[in-house]
Amino acid sequence: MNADELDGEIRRALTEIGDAAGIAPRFDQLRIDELGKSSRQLRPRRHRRLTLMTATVVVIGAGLWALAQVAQPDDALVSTAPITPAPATAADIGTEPPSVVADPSLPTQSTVPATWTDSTLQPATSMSPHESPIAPLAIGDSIMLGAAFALEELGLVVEAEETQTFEDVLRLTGALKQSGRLGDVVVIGLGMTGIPDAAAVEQIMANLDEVPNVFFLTFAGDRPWLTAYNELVRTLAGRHQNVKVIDWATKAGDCTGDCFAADGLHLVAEGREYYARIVMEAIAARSAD
Amino acid sequence: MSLTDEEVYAKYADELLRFAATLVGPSGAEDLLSSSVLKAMTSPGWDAVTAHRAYLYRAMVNEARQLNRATTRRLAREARAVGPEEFAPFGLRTEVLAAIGELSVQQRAVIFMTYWLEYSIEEVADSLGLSQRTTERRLESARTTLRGALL
Repeated sequence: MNADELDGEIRRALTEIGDAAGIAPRFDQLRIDELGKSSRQLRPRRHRRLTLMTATVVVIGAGLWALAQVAQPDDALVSTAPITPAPATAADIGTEPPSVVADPSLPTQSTVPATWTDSTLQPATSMSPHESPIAPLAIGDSIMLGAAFALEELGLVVEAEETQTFEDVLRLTGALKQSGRLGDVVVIGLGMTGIPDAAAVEQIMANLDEVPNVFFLTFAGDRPWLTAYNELVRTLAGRHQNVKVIDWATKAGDCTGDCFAADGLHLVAEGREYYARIVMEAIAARSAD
Repeated sequence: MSLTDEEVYAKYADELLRFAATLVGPSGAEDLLSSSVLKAMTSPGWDAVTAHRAYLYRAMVNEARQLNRATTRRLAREARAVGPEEFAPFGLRTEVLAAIGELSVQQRAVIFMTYWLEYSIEEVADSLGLSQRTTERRLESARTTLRGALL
């Protein structure tokens, strides 16, 4: 098959798959009215409007797709714990919507509702017994979310979400600890939503007390809580032997090329790879100790 | 004048559904469309978004990436229950599903944007937040995989 023939086959395949998906549901079938602007923090409900007959066809069709994916290498990097889908952020849209930034009016995390709802905290009960600890695991907010692909390329499992807070991380680490899925390395990169409650931070550290390598990234960017946040992170290393600080606040300025979105915080192309590299270098350095 | 959420959705729903089908297969496309659009439109930053199309594409890739593992395991169970001899999905050639299914989510996104949207490498890289070098690698590796699978 020459290049032109291959291109033709690929276009044909995309046409077939797209046509097979049928017609997009109407907007009101997305149940957006139920959520509404006043219910922004609610989790979207999964939407299904398949009839029994079409569902049967779907099951059959899905099978081949699934079989083809079972051995897919990239999947091995993805957490098997239930994961709350991550939204796009400014950093995730590349250069097109730089106007989208995290809300700087969020002074503390107490104002931000938890994004891990009770219904999503089911890893302990939904996982099969053979599922092994996740290592290394990276947990973060929209900054890290921008580098998610790059981190995964380097072998990390990434649990990053826009406006993720320490309270979210507390719930997540608690669930993972309970299910025995915390591994040897956990990386935490937060700071977009303000100063965390000190008690929540200590509770997180209690959840991570058996994790030998916990990395906290400092925060880099023009936010009022920058100094206080980074001071808090740095003091963690003094209080907990298993904590190592990755000083993103210092290292971010060394990134060369197209590193940051217009807000100066979120990562774009070279910045994403640089961020991932900094994280991996810290993990590798710790391993070498 | 800015578009309402409904107008934004109406404008891009069909192409997003097609993109979703490429990312997770026809069976999961509608769910992926719904969940990613709802998630994007209820996110705190949505009101400030001006490039809705790019935002929604990116939201869908993120959603598909996060859902991929769970979806794969669920569908694998369904496949075992049904049995391979019964595959006759959607009038699709089975090798097409199998071929696209061999790609990672990111590779599928690159392939779709390159061949369906006819984006340049630079445009694909911008849309997915990758470097151009990484994008080129993804495209080439996807083409290599598809060459073998579609033969």
